[in-house]
Amino acid sequence: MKPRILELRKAVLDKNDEIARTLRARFEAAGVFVVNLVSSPGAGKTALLEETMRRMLERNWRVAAIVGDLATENDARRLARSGAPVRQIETGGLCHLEAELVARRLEGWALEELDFLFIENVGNLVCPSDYDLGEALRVVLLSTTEGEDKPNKYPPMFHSADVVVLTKMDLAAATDFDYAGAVANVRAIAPHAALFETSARTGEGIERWIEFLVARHWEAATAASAAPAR
Amino acid sequence: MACRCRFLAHLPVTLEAMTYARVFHETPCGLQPHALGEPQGLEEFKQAAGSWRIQEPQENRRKESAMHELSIACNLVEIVEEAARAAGAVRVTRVRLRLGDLAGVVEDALRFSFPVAAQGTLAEGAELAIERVPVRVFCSQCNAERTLTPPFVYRCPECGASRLRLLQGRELQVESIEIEENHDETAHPRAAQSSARQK
Ligand SMILES: Nc1nc2c(ncn2[C@@H]2O[C@H](COP(=O)(O)OP(=O)(O)OP(=O)(O)O)[C@@H](O)[C@H]2O)c(=O)[nH]1
Ligand SMILES: [Mg+2]
Ligand SMILES: [Zn+2]
Repeated sequence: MKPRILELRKAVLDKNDEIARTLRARFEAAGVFVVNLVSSPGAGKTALLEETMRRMLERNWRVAAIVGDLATENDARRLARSGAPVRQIETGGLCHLEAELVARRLEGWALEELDFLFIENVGNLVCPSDYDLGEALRVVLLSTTEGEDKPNKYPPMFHSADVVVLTKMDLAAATDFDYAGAVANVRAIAPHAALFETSARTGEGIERWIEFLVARHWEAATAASAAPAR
Repeated sequence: MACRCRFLAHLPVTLEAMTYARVFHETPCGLQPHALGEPQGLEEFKQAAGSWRIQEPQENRRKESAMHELSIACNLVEIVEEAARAAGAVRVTRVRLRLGDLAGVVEDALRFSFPVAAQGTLAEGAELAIERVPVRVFCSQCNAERTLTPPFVYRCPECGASRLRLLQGRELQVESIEIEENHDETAHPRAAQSSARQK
């Protein structure tokens, strides 16, 4: 027996990254804009999606959702009420979604017939941050009923966000939410992130958020058609 | 997900594992109480844990991510074992990992999870050597590299500019592994097969 050193230089999440790359290429080719929503449990992902999907469907956008949940089907059922196709991934205790789970759940779905696909991740501000799902946009929600120091407590997650949405704005006053502090913290950890404020209850901010999604979708679509075919 | 079961089979063994079991029980990303297995085990565990409480913010962070590190550890072991097998190793003695400060992985929890994930694999008993990678950015205003420290406010520590380029700090990478090989190929039929196929 003799010891030997093997150089690997391999990312630990290499397998996930590779599947995510394949997914991203598939999404781009199909022209579907994929949004990955993460937050701590109960920050309002499902509520925001219910409202967003309902309004987008009214305007004939073709939207669909995949929902990751530890154990129940409740969120999928809530979202399906909008009339959009919804699929559920029961993670059975796994605390985040992985690209492979998403890929498997996409089977038999005609992606070309969709404009937007929303992925509601498992409620958790730690684990999903490392797992690319092939999304075009990663959205981190921060609700006014949580502490405004969440970005400082979970820098990796907030740092990886393309968008931060402050949710439950209708409760801001009642919960003494430090709005200026929250915005400053988000800006400090994720200066690159677009910032939105919404209330799924009153509808505040939802239109601006949808306009943004549509604009980004268009951007992505024009960039894809301008790019030389690979 | 397989490793979750392996982990559960392992519980409760040490006091630390019990602590983690408790932790999983409480964390939003953790396991459901019934997943702890034998109710008897759970009771024993509760007694052993006694008045144990999580108070320190550091502890808190660790608790929320323990499950995360376990799945990272499983990915790590999978890569290590695959490479070791391909090389005809009989045992992995050391794994060198680069871990960025912004990788979202708690070193302590990973150190705890690694042996659990490695159990029953070629990496069982291997030493996990972790090299931390600080968060380095390039500030175009200063035209210089800077290091960011917790909580990693994305701003140049010298001039305050936030137009920065991230150079390093998100790494989660296996650099190398140290393996023991057995030169008697028949003692390790799998390795013998794969090298035979290459000829
Ligand atoms: N007042 C108010 N309540 C809200 C709002 N958004 C969500 N809620 C409430 O907050 C609770 C949690 O909302 P969900 O949408 O289920 O949160 P979630 O992030 O999907 O939760 P998980 O999937 O369990 O992580 C529910 O009781 C919602 O009715 C809001 O904008 N205003
Ligand atoms: Mg939900
Ligand atoms: Zn500077």
